[in-house]
Amino acid sequence: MKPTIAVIWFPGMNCENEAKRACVAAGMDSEIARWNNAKLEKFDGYLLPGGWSFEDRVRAGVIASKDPLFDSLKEEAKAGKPVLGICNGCQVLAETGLVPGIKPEAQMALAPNANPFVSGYYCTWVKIKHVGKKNAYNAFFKHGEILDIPIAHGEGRFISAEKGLMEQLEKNGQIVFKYCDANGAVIHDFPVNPNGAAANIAAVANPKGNVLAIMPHPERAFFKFQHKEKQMANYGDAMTLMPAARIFESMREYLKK
Amino acid sequence: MKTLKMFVGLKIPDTTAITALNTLKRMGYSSVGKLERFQYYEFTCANPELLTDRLAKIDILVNANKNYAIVGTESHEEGFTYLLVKNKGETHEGLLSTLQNRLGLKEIQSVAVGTLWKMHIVDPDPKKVAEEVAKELLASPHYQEVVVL
Repeated sequence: MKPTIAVIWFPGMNCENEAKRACVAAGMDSEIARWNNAKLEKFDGYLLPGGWSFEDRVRAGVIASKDPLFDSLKEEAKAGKPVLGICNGCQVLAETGLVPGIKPEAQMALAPNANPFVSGYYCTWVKIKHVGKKNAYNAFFKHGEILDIPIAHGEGRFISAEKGLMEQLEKNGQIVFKYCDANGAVIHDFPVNPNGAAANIAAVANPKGNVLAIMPHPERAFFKFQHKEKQMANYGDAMTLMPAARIFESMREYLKK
Repeated sequence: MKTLKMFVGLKIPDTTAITALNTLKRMGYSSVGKLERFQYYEFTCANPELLTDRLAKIDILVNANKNYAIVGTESHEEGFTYLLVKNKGETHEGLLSTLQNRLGLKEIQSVAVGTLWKMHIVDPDPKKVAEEVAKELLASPHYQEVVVL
């Protein structure tokens, strides 16, 4: 029996269909679950998609993060079920404290991009490098492997006021993907680091590795036809999976255990 | 150099303030009875009196169709607590350049931007409640600074 992933939709999120499609294409079942009547316990895993929950009122992700749904979701995460947050979902997970999850409170935030040329929303393709320890989302990545992936956000700069947190995350292997150049060099400056994220963080996990918050959009780099260069030989080739699809495939394998 | 402040509010219902108030109520902050939000600007210049009338007419800051502006006043309404939230390290060079070069306001030397929350708090210690509300919802300690005015 296939595991079922709840794509948890809050008002203003707009990537739920792409996220559901990625889960299904990776061999899982998926349902879009509305925030106000989601029966979380019946699902095997959870995905918070991208968009603008509650129009990013006050700041990105914070209103959704205060929803009572997270009392249940934290329990499900504690039980080991996977929780993946993409873009706005990543911002929400950071505000809830589910990532980095060393302490119960929000230890980091997604600040407005620090981009020398474009203020506010910024949308482009970037490269990220797999650097983390093994978790529920990276079973099929080699250490140092580079992926093409799009970003689309205005508040994507991982930051923390907590002294020593970044060093601790590095040491724990909780930083799973970092922005890098074509050769894998982790350069802090724009455009390699498109938003000024601390330690070039593109994705961070909790210590157990079952919760992942990722700012780039793996569901938009899932099939070859989605790639910016679209070098396809035929329709079948268009549906060839891209490396980012392995994040979802890894989630599926994690749920088999 | 002197400082001139401008508060820009909405004439129409402010959905951000309404959502923030509803969220605070749900989080248990029943003592917060009213919440309003203003865009906060602080201009540094030699002669603020020359700017007072002009600032409220800058349409990139104040859209007359939906905004109103209060310029230059320090007076706060009795019974309300004010919370100023600013992003750390922001210089607003782009806005300053636009004001100086495109709109001809050369006398402005620097500009700071933030969000001003005006709260009616029914509690013996409204400042303490305002600080808690800032920590729990209205400001991120990771990249924002907060002053209770």
